[in-house]
Amino acid sequence: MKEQYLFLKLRATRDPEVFGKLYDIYVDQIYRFIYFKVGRKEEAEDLTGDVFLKTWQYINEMGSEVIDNLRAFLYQTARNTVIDFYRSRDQKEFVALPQESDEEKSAAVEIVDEKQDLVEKIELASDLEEVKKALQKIREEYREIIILRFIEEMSVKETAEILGKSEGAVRVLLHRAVAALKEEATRKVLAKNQNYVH
Amino acid sequence: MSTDLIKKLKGLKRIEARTEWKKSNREFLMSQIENNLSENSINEGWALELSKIVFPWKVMKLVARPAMALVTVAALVLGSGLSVSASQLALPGDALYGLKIASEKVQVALTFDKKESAKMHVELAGKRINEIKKIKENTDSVEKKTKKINVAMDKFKEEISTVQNKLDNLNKESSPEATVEVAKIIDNKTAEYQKDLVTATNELPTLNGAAKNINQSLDLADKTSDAALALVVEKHVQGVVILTGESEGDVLKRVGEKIEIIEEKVEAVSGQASGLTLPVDPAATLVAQQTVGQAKVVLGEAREALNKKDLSIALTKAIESKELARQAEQIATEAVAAVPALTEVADCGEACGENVTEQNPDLTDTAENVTNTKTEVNTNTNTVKTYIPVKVVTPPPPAEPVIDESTLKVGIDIVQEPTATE
Repeated sequence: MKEQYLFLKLRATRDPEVFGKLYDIYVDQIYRFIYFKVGRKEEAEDLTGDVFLKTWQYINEMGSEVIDNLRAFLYQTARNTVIDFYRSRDQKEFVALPQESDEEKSAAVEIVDEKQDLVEKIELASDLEEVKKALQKIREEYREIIILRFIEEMSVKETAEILGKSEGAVRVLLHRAVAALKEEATRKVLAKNQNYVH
Repeated sequence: MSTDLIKKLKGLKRIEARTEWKKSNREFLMSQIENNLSENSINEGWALELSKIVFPWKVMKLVARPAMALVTVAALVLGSGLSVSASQLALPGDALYGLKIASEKVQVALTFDKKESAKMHVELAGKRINEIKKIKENTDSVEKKTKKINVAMDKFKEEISTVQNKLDNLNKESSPEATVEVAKIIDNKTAEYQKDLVTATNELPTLNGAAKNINQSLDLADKTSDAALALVVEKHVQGVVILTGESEGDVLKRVGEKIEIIEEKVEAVSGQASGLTLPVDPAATLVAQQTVGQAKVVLGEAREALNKKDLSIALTKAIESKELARQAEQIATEAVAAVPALTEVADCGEACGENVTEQNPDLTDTAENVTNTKTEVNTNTNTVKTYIPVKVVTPPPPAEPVIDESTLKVGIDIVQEPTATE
């Protein structure tokens, strides 16, 4: 895997160029992860920047040999950074931030597939919006695990490493998370339908 | 879980950060890293401390990023000061030499492009050779010159080693074109450096103290040159570098030139080996001569391969031949060194103080006869005495030269045997 190779190179050479390449590979997924947690683009950008800077500082001071799995390290740092962020704002993690305006929402969500025509894009955007909303409503730990397993498509092992849990615990948690999300998604549909009926 | 939901979740993967933000954040990150690295490479205190105070990383976000990058670079430059340009002329031992080396290190640290970094180290090796040329022209004492040359040589060896490593890395990580480009530069330059080094030090025969270092440096440069050319050939043969007529011609020429240089070496060693005569150990002589003979054969194979445009075999054989010649040279040199100093002209042994200019009456003092030796075997004492007629440096005759004829010796021998005739 290219990432593995680059990371091994980074360990051997501490070449900033290599770190830059790794940044290119991971920046979007870390941004995404944080964005789903904090819900706002600007904060997500700032915090993502922090994560990479902290990672470099860490590598520079401690030597990259201490990091086994860069991806896991980045995600763990991201989690901690978000926790620190909320603490500094004196808020609990679960409290949603003020909702973004529609403008802000569309600006944050850059859908890369330019081949799609406009109608498809709009549909896709609203689908995503739905799921995103449902995701926001469930518990943080459920949200996290769904992001890691289904959006970032990580293995159970990796997910366990990032969350600091056993693989068994991860499976159980995942099962519950999925159930919660399903419920939330269904509830929205019912609510919608009810609105039409009445 | 309904497939619809899964599908939608996976769709969320398409969310990405804004392109402009990614770009500017990356630039910011890189400038931060450069800042970090320069902290490690310069020992200039104040610029470093200043930048830590002025640019604590959390504050960075508030500052316009491109501007911040510029300011960091300015801090670096100011830190070294205007004396950097003056230090460029410094030689080992000069006050500004340390600054010269430090500013070179800064340049190296700020060069992130692998290709440029490799080229830079080749240039720095060249600077060390130039320094040696200048040291040679100095009016210093031999001792001082030797010291200075040793310093420059040590640094040269460092640079060449780094060049080797950089080339290896390039080979593993960069495009073949970049690798070949750098390998060619290395091949050209190391040949130049070797020539310069030999010239500079040939004219300084009394620099025995630096001889070992110089030989090691030549060796290292040679090996690096071989490795570089091997890479060029490899890439060419693999077809990863565009096979234009010109590029093939170029590689053929390079390999041809290398074979010629090796041929000179083989000839030189051959001459050395065939010049070995007693008292040098005949067994060693034989081995040396056979080895150099082998070298010639392999070199012939290299030429053949070159004619067939079989580049890898040609180069491999050529380098093999060179190795054989080296081994032969080593055997020959060691064998000569192992012989006790029979031919030391100034050593007249116990006969010093007396007039011992008498030479072997059998031999006349002509150039041709200088190589004639007379061997005498004494079975009683199991010694082999070899008489080599050379002109003896006559010590000044004592005030009252009382010459006892019985002490006059024939030629020079190690084991003095007073033969009293009366």
